Amino acid sequence: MGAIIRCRGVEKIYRQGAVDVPALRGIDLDIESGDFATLAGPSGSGKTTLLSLIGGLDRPTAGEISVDGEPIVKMEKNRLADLRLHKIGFVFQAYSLIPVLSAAENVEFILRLLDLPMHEREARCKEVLREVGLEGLEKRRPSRLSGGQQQRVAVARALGPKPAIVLADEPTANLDSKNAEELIALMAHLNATSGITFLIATHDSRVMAHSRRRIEMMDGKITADERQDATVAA
Amino acid sequence: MMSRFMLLAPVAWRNLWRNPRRTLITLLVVAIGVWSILVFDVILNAWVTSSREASLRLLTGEGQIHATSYLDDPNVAHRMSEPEGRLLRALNSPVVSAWVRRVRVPAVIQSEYRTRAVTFLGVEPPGERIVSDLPSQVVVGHYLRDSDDIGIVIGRDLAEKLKTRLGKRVIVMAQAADGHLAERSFTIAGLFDGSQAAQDEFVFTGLHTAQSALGIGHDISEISFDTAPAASLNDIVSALKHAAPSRGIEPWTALSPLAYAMESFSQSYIAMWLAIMFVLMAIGIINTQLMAVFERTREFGLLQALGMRPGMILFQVTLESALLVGIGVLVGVLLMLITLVPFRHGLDLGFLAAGAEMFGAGRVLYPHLDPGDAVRYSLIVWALGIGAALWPARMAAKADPIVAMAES
Amino acid sequence: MLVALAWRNLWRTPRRTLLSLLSIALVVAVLVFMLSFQLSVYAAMKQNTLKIFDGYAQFQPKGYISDPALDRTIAHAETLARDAVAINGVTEAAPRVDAFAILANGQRSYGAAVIGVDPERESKISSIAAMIHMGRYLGPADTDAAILGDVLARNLALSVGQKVTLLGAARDGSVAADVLRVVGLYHSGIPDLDRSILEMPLSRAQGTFAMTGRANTIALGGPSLGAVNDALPALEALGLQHGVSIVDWSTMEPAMRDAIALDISIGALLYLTLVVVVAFIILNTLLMSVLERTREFGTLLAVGMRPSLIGQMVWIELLGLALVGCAIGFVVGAGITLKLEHYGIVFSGVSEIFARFGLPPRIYPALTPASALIGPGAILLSIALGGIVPYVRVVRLTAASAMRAT
Repeated sequence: MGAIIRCRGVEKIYRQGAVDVPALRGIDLDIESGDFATLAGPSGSGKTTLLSLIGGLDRPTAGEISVDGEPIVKMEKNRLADLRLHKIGFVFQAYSLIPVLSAAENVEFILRLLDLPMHEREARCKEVLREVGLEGLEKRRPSRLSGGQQQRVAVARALGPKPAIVLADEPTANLDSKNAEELIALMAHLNATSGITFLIATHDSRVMAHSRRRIEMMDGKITADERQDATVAA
Repeated sequence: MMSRFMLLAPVAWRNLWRNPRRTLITLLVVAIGVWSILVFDVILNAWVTSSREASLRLLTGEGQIHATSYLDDPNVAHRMSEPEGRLLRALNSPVVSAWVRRVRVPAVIQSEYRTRAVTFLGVEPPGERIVSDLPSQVVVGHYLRDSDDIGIVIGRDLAEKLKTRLGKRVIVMAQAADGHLAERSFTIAGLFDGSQAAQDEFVFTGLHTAQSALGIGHDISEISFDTAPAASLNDIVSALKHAAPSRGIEPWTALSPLAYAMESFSQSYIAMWLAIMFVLMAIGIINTQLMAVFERTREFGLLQALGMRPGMILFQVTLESALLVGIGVLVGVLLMLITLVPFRHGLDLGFLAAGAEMFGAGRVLYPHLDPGDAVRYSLIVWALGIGAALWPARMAAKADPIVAMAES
Repeated sequence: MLVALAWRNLWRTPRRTLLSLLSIALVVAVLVFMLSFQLSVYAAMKQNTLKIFDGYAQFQPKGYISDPALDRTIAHAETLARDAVAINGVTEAAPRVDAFAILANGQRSYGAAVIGVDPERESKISSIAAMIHMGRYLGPADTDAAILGDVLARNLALSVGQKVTLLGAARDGSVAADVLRVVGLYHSGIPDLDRSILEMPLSRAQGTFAMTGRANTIALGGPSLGAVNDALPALEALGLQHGVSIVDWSTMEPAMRDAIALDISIGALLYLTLVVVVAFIILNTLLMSVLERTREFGTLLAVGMRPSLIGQMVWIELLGLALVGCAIGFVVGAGITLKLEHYGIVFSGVSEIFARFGLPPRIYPALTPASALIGPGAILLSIALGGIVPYVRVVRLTAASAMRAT
């Protein structure tokens, strides 16, 4: 299997007033298709920055990044948006749903942006919501869903367009441990059954326990990158 | 484009109601603004119509024909012969809906007690009933019967000033064709109501009676005509000029310049009000929408992160503003229609009637909303409102997708 | 302290504050200017119309206004006129004979008002003397002279130097006849006026119409309409002694009074919508900023600030915003007004309408205390009252609920 994500010599320096703050200092990283990888490290280690660069939300100061073979560093804004739409699914820490849309509509919104025909859209929408275990809650608005349910909708929405990779940024940070466990188990299960690639930034040890590849970061550098056998959740 | 619209319209609609109070107040601002523009338009239009009608339906008609020097010096010497030949044929053509002959000269009217200067008219009563509202305004006695009627119809107010009344005799003195001061006694057959100025100025008798009193044979002073609904006044005037090159032929716009000036004046007045109201509405819209956009910065970041192009976000926010302003405009039009209900049978200016008359209007105004104007002003406000809302929409489209990420 | 805090809060969102200021300033500027313009138009309308002929007020015999007959007279006209100018605010009093006659020139004859006037006093009250465009006005030494409107002269085919014959009824019912020499023609631009009046020397008219020592009206003049209006009570008392009525401008020109009332009503309706719209915009803005800051208010409550004090702070913010906006709008509106007070505003193409209302084609708006203060006052008042809404909202907050808000 080839690399979905390829980073070479990626550097990111934020300017804060007159001071340059280096966030990433030369990252080389490949994520293989079908991987279930976690990006761990303390606050400020650069994992969120790396994730946003890979997702094309921001641009690196130096280095090369390609997603599914396409270099994205110099990609024009609209094309970047299209790339995210087709190939990258996002799950954020919080507020990641469109508040005025119901669970099903949140998923469908993205599918409609893809211009899928209606019957395909509906079928796909049903399918992913079932996969994340939200049958019966399709019509609820985010304000009437629990935090765990909201994150499941976010996962469903990320899966909707069958992306090459799902990027998740601290998806369990706002959840209690039970919901967190369930969400991780869900993602692991989806990875195992559908082969969708996950890259999850987290410092939640429960998430790391599920991962098959643990990447550790510190001060903008990768300090460890090891494969492990995932422990199956109880 | 259409599919995008179908996708975003419901989202835009729901977004509007996330903060119902804010939306409602902005709606009200737009609605009141539109309402005031339309009220202004309706009042001025009613005014223009009324002053046109007051003048045209009194004696002016839509156009008049005189001997060339009559308007300058409305003397009995400046009379003309009855229309015949080409002019008669032109007047009888279907584009002229009605026309009447008149003798019209300055005169002095005398009762037993008082003397006043007036304008003395000899008219054809059946025709006058068509071209003028005056015959229907007779409130005491009756209007003249035919051109041979020897009675006189004067204003009610004039009768009071002359200390005379129905059935009494008055003497009218006017310069006759031969130059001497002709004197003739009349019995008052009717008194008419209406505009104060008309009541004091005009006295009427039969056309033939007036012709014989002045010794002018079959000559007349003026012809007043109305045009058929679809006909162009300018075309008719030039056709008549062609048919009678030696006579003075004037459209009402030249005969009643006040009524005409009122019309053009009102247009620029409305435009000015529209501009002022619009700047206010625009500030209201921009302020609300900017705030709405700042509150949702994170959401716009999220939408971009999910793969929505910045142009689409611009489109969505613009759509929200378009809905907001559009509903406001509709509410404003609705408010206007409701405002009109109590006045559908006319707005009686009552105690201010003399003031209305001074502006050239009648005592009762008939406000009605011109659908063309309502649509035009609504569309202008709507389009300009959307234009103003492009600023907040651009702010939304410029939101950085990175704000969707967790704080770190 | 509260004021400083409120001020800084306003500038936390400069764009929003500037837009709000702009809306207030715009409305205030429009109101100041429009009111200055309108009020000065009314003043000009009244002043100009009255100056043409009526005078700022008139003494008339009782009942003359509804039935102006020659035999209703003021007996000792000169005495009354002399007493009238002794009253503060009245500088001129011109007795007039107001008769009706048929004017004839050869074959032509027209009916017209024949006014006997004292040329010297008359020229200070009525602007007809200034409208002479051919020949001259009447002089004190004239005996058989007359001036008349140019339309009337044209209709009678009269020119300066020719003779005009008068034929009418005198006060005692006898025939009044006279022959006068035309010395001047006036042109006012108001067709009714230009075809209906002939003026002749007062004493000659008193002789012709059997009015010796008497007058029908006494027209009054003063430094301004306002001055004469202020003198009305004194004039009324004087009139009572002589058994005559004092008639003010609104009674002489009821149509103009009504026209002004009508125009004010329509204007008031429109200005009201301006004020309401701007008040809504400002309240909306402030309500939103209160909602945004709920958490912050919670913190203030938690550290012991009383809710009413926070409410006051918000209210002061609103008032400060309104005050600054009003000040800017006032400066702009007053500035434009003062500038145009100097240059005047020309309305092209509507001189027809203007002339009808006795207005010159160039209008000079004037800043008066009323026109300057009504607009800003109305805005301040409505915003201050509307400010109760956010005030109540803030006062009802409890620390806990505010802290929970996000």
